[in-house]
Amino acid sequence: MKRMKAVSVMLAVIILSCSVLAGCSSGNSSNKESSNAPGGSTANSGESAGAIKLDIIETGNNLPTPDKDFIKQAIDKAIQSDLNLTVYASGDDYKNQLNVRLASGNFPDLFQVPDRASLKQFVEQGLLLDLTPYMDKLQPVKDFIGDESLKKTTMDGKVYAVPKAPNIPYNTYWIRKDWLDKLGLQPPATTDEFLNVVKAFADQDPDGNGKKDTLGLTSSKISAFAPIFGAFGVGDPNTFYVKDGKLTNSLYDPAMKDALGYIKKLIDTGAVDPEIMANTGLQHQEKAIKGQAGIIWIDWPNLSKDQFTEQIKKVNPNADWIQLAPPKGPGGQYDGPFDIGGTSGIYAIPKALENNKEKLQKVFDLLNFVSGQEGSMLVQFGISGTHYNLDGDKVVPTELMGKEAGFTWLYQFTGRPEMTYLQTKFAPQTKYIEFANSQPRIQILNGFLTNPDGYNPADAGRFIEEEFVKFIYGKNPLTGYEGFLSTLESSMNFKTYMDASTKQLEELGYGK
Amino acid sequence: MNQRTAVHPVQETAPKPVLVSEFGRNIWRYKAFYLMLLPGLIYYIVFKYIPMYGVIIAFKNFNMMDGIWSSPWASPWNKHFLTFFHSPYFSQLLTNTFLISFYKLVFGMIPPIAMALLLNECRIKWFKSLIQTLTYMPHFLSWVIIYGILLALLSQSSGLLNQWLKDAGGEAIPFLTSTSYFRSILVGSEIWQNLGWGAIIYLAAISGIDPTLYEAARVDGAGRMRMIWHITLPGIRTVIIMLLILKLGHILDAGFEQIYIMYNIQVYAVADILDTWVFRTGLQQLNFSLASAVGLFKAAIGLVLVLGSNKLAKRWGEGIW
Repeated sequence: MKRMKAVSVMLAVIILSCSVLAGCSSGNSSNKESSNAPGGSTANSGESAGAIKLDIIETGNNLPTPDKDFIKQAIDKAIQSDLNLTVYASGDDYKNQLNVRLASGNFPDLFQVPDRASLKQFVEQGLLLDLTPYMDKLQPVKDFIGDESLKKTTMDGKVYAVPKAPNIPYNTYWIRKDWLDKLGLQPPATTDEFLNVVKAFADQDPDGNGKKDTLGLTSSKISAFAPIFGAFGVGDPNTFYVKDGKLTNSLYDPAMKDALGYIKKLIDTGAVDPEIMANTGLQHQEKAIKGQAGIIWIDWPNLSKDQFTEQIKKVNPNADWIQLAPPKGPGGQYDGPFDIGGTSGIYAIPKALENNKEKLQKVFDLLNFVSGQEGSMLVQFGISGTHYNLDGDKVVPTELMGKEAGFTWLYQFTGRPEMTYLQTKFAPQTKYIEFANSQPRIQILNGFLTNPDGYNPADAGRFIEEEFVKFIYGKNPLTGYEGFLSTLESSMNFKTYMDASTKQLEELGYGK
Repeated sequence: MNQRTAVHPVQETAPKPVLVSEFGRNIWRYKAFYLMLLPGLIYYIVFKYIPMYGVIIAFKNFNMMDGIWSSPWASPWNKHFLTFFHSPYFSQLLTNTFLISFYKLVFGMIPPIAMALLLNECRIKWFKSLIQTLTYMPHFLSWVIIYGILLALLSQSSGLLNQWLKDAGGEAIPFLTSTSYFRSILVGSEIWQNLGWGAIIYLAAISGIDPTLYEAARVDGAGRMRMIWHITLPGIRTVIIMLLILKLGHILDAGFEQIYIMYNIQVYAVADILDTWVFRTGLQQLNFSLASAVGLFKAAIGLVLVLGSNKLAKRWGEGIW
């Protein structure tokens, strides 16, 4: 009995001390992190010895491990840093991670801000460092992205973040040329022809396997119909644009009802992917590659990059995807809308870095470096002599660029000269890039907007999407559209949002 | 129980201080046990009770830079609760949460018990362990994988089941995008996932039943069904009730992970639950105060249900069953 007692006491002591030790060790590691930052003068210490560690998070994919990441190594060498980049494949995941990190005070040193609405929230929470007083230290960045761009991250006259240089649109309809040929059809030029082709792709067995197992049109969510909305002269649901000199929200555009009526007709044919609203990630791309669908609304990289053309050919060597100009409709001919207030990324520095001058300077160094000649070339094309050679001013890619340098865009924190970049790096895709870029598009202004208090964008967004789905699937008749608008205003506070948005856009000089 | 009450009256005549020191002496006497209890207690205090102070952000306008203490109080104090109660989706969210949870509870209760009974009656050992392994494997699959499997089977355009239906001349059924099927899919996949896992507990309880009861019954000429009905089931009654009570406490957790992965805009009307709403409205938009207000609301209801059902079960314990 006595011995048992002794054993149990010992056990308890061991368990206790273990938990205490665990507590200490975790405390230690967090101490290390914070003490690491101010310590170590980097001035002339050379390589990684005194390098300052920079934590960076953003959305992205295909980042190699640090030992294979030659961009990280090159940047670390150039500015004496120790970059620790973490990327998240899904935008939703990233948003969550970021919010949790910010809320727990575990700030990254540089991070991507999902959109302008989030930027406003972060600014209101006092999380972001006001960059205005540091602008002279960021001269190379300023020169690189241009003063005009900086307006997109300016709030109440203060610059809170660095926007990437503006992007170009990527998305268009893509269509199976070989299916068209097999059925003796022309690429559809009008909305009526579009309807016929979609129907024919589902009904007339274009893949010739004797089964009715093909879909006319697929994509992800309501944006599948972006060029259709364009054909009726309206933007995607709940977008702002200037039409006939007047500021308009697509929901209140009289042509919206017609567009919905046409989309309903499309869906009634039964030829549209029934899971179009449930497709997430790249499920629609998969359906296209597998030869299940004949038309898809997608960005050119996801259908014409080498790896995907390979997959397509593997399924069917005769498959031939071509881009399709937006069909002409009663409201004109526009491909999916292009947000002129948007950026392809906003990067901010947490306010917490204010007191850590050395680290802050290092972040500035980083931003300046990737904006400068040498750094910009590095993050665009890789290492000179390995991934590309210079022929005068022209960048000549080597074979290694295609193999190894696909991820370098993750380090383009201030963007890139879009067109030359794409044409060099994606030379075989140049015609697709130019095609997507040259389509007429409705210029929407949502990127300039921030949400007013008392408006819950999650609830309102859900309501709009849900009701739209009911309209196009015929669960609610279109005669109920006015009723939908008044419910939206009365129970979702949409009026407040409309008023605030109109005011914000008018202040910027739109629709006056 | 009876022994202690028998001893009690003797001590009652003693003055109070003695009782206190009696308590202290008891602690001293069983100090090894209390010491062993200590780590557990500390765990609960450090990881379960201390973090509870964070719940006050439900009554504050939480600002990340100010932190929990310095964030300003919400005015009125129940501002975030009101935002939640006044959301146009409040009643729908609550209904969905209760219904999905209730279905899972009701339909999910019998299958594991039946499974455990069947396994218990199975006399071929290798077959029994094969079935057991097979049925509890899904428990270790994440919902993403299960959704992938479901998609391959039930997808309206390319799912196996729908291919068969179409080949047989029928119409494809939109299992995953139709409001009339979605809840059944949710409940069904949950039951499938937890069938074998749930049976383990019941099997363990069954193995604790005194085998002499069965022998006696056999001598009295009882068949297998009789024995299940009169010995096995009453034998695991307490376990069934206990699990039921535990699950009732979680009735407002209708399975965030599963629903978040499986739902889409077409089935929001029947699938959107409190947790998914909190995720979209609270966490994704930095309304942490709102998120914790809803969390507190859920916890309060869960507590009431656990206490209530426990009381009810106590009454049953005396009564019929």
